[in-house]
Amino acid sequence: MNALAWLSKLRQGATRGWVDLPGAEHEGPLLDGPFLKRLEHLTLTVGRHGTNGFAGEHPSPRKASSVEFADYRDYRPGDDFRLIDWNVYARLGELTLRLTEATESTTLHLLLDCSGSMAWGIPSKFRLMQRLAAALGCVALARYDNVAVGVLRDAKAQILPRLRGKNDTGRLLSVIDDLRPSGTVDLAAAAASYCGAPRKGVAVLISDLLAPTGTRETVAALRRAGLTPTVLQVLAREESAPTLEGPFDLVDCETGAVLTTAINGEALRAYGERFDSWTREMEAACASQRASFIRVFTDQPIDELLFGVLRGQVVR
Amino acid sequence: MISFSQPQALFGLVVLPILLLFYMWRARHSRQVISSIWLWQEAVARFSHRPTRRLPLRDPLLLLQLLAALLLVLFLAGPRAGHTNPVHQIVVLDDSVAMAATDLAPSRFAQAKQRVQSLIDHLGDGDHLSLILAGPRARLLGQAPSAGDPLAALRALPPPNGPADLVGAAALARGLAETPSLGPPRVTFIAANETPALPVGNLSVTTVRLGHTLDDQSISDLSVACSPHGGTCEAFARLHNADALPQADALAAWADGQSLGQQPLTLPARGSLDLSFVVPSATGVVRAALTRPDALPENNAASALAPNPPSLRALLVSDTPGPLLRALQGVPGLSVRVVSIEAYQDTDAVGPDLIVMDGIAPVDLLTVPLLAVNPPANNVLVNVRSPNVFLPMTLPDPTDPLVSGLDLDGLPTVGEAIDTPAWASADVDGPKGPLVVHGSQSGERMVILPWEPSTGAFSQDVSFPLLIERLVRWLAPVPAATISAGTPLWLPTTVQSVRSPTGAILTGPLIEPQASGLYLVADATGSLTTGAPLFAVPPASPGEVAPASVETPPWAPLIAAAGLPRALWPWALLAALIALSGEWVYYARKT
Repeated sequence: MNALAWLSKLRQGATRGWVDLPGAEHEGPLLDGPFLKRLEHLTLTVGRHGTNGFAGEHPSPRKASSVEFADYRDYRPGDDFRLIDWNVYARLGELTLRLTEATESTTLHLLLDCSGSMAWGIPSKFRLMQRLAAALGCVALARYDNVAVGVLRDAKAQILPRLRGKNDTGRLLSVIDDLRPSGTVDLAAAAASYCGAPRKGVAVLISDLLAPTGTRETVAALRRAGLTPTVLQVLAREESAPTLEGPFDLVDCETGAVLTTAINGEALRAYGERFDSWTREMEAACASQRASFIRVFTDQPIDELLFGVLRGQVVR
Repeated sequence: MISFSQPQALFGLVVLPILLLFYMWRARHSRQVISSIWLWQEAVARFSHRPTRRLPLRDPLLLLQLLAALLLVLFLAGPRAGHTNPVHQIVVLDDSVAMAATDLAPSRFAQAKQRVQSLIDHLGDGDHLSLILAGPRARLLGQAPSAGDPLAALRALPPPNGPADLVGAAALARGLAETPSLGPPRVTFIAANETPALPVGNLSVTTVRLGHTLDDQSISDLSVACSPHGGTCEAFARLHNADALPQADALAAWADGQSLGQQPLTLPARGSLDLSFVVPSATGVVRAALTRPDALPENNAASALAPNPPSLRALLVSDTPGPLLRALQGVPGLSVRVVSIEAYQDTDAVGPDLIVMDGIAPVDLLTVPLLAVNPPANNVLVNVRSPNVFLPMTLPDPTDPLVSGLDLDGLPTVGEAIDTPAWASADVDGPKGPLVVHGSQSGERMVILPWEPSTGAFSQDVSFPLLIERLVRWLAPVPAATISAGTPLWLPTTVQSVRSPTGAILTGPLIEPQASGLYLVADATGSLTTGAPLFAVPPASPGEVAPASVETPPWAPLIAAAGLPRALWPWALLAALIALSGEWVYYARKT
């Protein structure tokens, strides 16, 4: 290594986090055994209209023969006599039906942004996305829910074989671990491609959403397809609060476009303001489609995310 | 206040802006890959985002490197604290023969002169420079800007040819360093590579060495010894090789100009070789020379005088010469003519090398050495208080060279009670007056014996002729056949001047021969004739140190250490190393 290259390396290292290291997205195992065990205590948060009609563990809007009490209603002609609560009739002299609740399974649709920008950051956003997807998928498989993985790249979605049951856990982990970030993505077009047919279930879109437009259209496409969308935005901490200072040639890692600029306090303030307004735009877009919007950072531990940030919104 | 011992090192500060420019250049061209630029595009659209050239002073690596470079430059500049200008530069210039070597073009001495000139040129306001020449006899060559022009004196110096009087030079330097009005001293010793260190005690010295391993073969000693019974004489030569390799050479010899032949030889590396050769008995001057040219030709040849007995003439004016005449006739090389007091005339005093007056005193001071024995009252030499008194004596000083080792127990006798003249000192003293006094009056040596040798028993002692010989040798000294360069030498009274090997005329009575070679009589009135060889000065070898010509003064070690500048460079070096360590720690943590 000559002196210039050495000094260049020093210079790169002098700015925390702004280092593009090839293969950095594969640091560490995807999930470890104890963590997988803990995930079995979680279950997906599914609305009553998010079930798919197959037997499962999630409450369904439909009523069925089960031990779970749901409601009483007056007897109407044609009702099944076996559902009449004879204790109520003996006490009140009225024919009253005892209704029970049906439990059904759901389908977790993991829509993963595999564009090149996801490879950025230390640890990389892509690796965190893989871990989140794997964890959510394992939670679903543990509750006999279906898991569908859609890889969003360019303007289309690659749909991987649907998985179900705990036996498919290893396959899920393998599928997700084999993913690689590359190229660009048009989220709206890719989501529309994924939603080409009507679907039921919960959709979790994991992406950095680093595009000027498309978030609202993406969430709308998911909603139109009958899915209950949740948007997980994965960012590196330096993307929300950059520490750069000085003149730079900023290179877009996806497109290769170059922006030559001098970054100073004024530029950092302008960036912060734009970042905040962009956040508000995405929150508004998600809220308009009754979708949850959750932002996570790459420096947050995966267990903190699953058992803290996402609990109550995605899992419970 | 901080001063610098090597202020030229501060030029190294140019590395600081270079480092800064390098970082600016790096900053201008830094390429940063980010995940997406569209947020930045919209953010910077609000203001001018032209690349600026701001100094990257917030970069810790740059700050650490600037600090390290600054401290290293300070370390090289030798910062000192505790003194303010002006500074007293004391430059001791080695003037030994090794400085004449030509291994540095044009010569070491020429380069040394340039360095001295540079020091003088860079004197600041109020600074002083004292230039000491450490030649065969150390001396203060001049001071700038107050006393004389050291540069002019430096330019007028002949090529070095002799040993270096380092002890004398160090004593002079210490003395000058004690002059507080000239500012804090800063001693610089400019010396040949072979010259030993300057012995200045606790005074700090910056030594500038000139030259490398010297290709020099020299004749460090040449002497001639003859048999006292006549016959052949033998010359002894000691040859020295300063080179790190053995050298093949040849020694050529001449006796009174006649070639004796040439002897091939091999000189050992950094060693010496002794050899002898026979020379004819009647030889007066032997010359030897090494034939191989080397980097220092000044010491390739040497001359020596054959130890022929000196020829001195004495005039004894006495009516009772007796024991005194016998004692004078026993002095080797001394021929004595006796005249009576009545027959003595003033013209008789012209010609002899020594006059001995017994019972008589000159009317006026003579221009030749005088041994006055039992001078009469009312003379121009000494005050005679009373005649014919017994003169007891006290024990003489055993270190007095005139009487040391002599048995003087028989000396107390009847004589004249005299007062010791102001121009003389008593060698043998007594309660009633001195018995032997000697001194110089108007440049002429005189000895007074206030007693009559022929009347006492002392003349029968063996000590009497020995005492007379010593007195004669002191009164009419004959220079040694060989003396060291720079040694002060009293010329014989009949020799007024000598011609040095370089052709310069050295006028007596006291001379300091510097150049090596044969010194010839230039002007004489006695038995010595013009052109006769008088003495020889052997060439010096590189690194040869002259005998101490100046006693170390008692105040020499009194330079207070607290008064010397306190060196700060170790602290600068330590701080630079800490800064570099911090930089490495920072780098290690980043990677």
